[in-house]
Amino acid sequence: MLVALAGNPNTGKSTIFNALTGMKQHVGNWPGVTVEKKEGETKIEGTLVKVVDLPGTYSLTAYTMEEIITRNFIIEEKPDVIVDIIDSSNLERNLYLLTELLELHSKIVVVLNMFDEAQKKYSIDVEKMSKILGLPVVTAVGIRGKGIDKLKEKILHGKFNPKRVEYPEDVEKRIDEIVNLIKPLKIEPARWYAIKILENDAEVHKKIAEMGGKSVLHRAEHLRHEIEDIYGDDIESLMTSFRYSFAHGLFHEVAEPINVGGVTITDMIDHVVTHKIFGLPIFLAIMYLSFQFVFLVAAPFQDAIDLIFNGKSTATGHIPGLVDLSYNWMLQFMPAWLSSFINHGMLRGLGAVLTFTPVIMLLFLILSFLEDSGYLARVAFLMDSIMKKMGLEGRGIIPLMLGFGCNVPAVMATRTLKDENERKLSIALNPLIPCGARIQVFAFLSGIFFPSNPALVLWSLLILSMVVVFVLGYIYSKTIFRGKSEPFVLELPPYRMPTIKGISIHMWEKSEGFLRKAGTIIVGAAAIIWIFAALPWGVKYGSPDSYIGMFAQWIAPIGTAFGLTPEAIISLIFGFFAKEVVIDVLYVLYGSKEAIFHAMTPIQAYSFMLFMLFYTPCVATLATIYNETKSKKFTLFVILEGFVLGALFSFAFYNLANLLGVGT
Amino acid sequence: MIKGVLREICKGKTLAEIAEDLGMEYTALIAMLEHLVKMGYLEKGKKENTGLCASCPLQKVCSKRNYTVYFLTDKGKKLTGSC
Repeated sequence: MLVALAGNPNTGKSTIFNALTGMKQHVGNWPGVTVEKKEGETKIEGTLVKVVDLPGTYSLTAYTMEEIITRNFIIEEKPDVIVDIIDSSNLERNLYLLTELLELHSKIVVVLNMFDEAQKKYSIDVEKMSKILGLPVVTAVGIRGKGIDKLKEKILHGKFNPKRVEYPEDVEKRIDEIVNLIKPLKIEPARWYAIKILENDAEVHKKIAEMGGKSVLHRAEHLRHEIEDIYGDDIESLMTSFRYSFAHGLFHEVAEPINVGGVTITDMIDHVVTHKIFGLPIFLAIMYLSFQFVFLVAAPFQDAIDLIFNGKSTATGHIPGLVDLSYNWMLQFMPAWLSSFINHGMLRGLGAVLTFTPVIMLLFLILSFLEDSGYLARVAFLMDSIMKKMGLEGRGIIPLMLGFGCNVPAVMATRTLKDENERKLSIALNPLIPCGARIQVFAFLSGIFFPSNPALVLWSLLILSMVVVFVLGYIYSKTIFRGKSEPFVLELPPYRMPTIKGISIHMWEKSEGFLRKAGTIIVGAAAIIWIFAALPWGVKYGSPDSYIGMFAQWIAPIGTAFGLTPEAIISLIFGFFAKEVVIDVLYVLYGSKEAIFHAMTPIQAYSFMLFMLFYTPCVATLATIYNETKSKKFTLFVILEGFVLGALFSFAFYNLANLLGVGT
Repeated sequence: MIKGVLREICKGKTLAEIAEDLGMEYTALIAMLEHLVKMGYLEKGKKENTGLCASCPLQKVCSKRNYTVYFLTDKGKKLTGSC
């Protein structure tokens, strides 16, 4: 007796196979392929039974090797009984394969495996199922050996009166006609062959042609077109739909959900965090609390690092920091300019970077937590539904979300958008999303100028950028970048509690990039700035007589309308190379946090941040934009867009605040 | 039934919404979508498989790398009519 075990992947087929065959098994490959073939033997009531474990498949089409092996085995080896092993905790999913097996074989024993798990989800009427299908249905928990004896009994003595999947009359009539046409070819199961010929199955088509049944194929083509004309759909989708409907109907006939709606913890959380009205405020609140946490925890560490590098001014004098101590020590064996270059240029630049390491690491810690928990995926979903209302939809949201990390990969990610206009729209909006580097600068300035509530300032900038993206996106999508949006489905992963190890790894992977940059570009930039601030020889460092001082005086009138100090403008120019450099430039030019604080009013600082929020993206982003679009015109458009928006918001805010007399 | 699912995707609904609206089990819907991918009605986008991110410096740390996104192919669009 030959028994074949069929079923979807991961239904416990191997467990049942092991339970049936024990140690008597042989593992090899199916002929000509590397798909594993397992065979074994068992004795049931004295009858020797050969058991073959077929590859796990979801269907029996001819698209994968596993599917072809399974159906060919059933057709060619003609097993006496097929055991269809079903993961009953995912009953509906598993029933589709059963509908296909019903067309191939009449003796099928259905095993509802993992039945203990299924009972937590629904109550399955096993008897009703057996009656509807006309097949023996056995419940089992393979892992505990439950139901194996019953299965053995049904393999030998089961009563089989299978119900076949009935197609609509128009289709059945044509299947019957093909069954009659292929009779001379003497192939079995004739109905299955007829259905596959009608469906234009590539493998069957080839086989029939080889057997000399070209006239059958010709007639089948005509019948296929008739059905397609009647239903207005292609035959493949029609037949598949009929089977899915059968499986769907059978599922609802026999399974009654215990937990109505199958509400899980993930569902419950999602109902709240992706809520149409509350979703966005919850996201904003989470971001605000995250920023609060970052500033609160980072502050003492930042102060300590700042104290180590730059010392502290007190009522009784200045406590020297590492920069001053090192400068004085180096004076003993090198000229003053070299000691100044090393200490005031490079070491102070490094100190500025290290001061912000706690903020960056904590920001990434929070981001990693939100990411690993599954919440960030909900944010993408949430934004998508909001953007739909603004006239933007589809896959464009993913590149925009990436922009919060870095605009470079975000621009590259727009390649997934097929519509050229939608792609350009996404690229044009991308630099308006504050990248990680800009967020660092905001965190730096907020901490200095708004010590009582830096999180609120950072949060307000984030909200403003989102509003601008939405509004501008809406305008663009209705005017210059009118495109056909691509519908898409976003799969949300279940929530899970992030592990400390996982978060730590993610946090380090992200922070490492910043620190590496700090060691190269940022310290390098600090050195260049020092040179401009120290030259020509003999002038006071950073004084109006230095090159940078002269440039600052020349550029100063431009900044007055926006409240930007000459140093701030210089930092913005350097920021064109990498946004993080802005912190560095300010530190090198002003010398300390206190000096920065005294150089600008909070209104000027906020105006500076508004300019920084939108003005031209860094050179790497622009190069990527050009590479992706190969359009100088479009790249120029992005530069101008940023400048116009930055200037507009900065100018409006600074002048309005001055008019109202706020913060002066 | 297939047409129904494809139309829901066309509307931009999530898998959970589609499963709920059609009264299907979520896992059954996923299996159906995979089947539709094989049949050529849908295209599956997984970031690490697309090769688009290969040159991205943030690929290792990208928060979007585990997304699975299903798109309608031309065959799928043809079946559903205008989306």
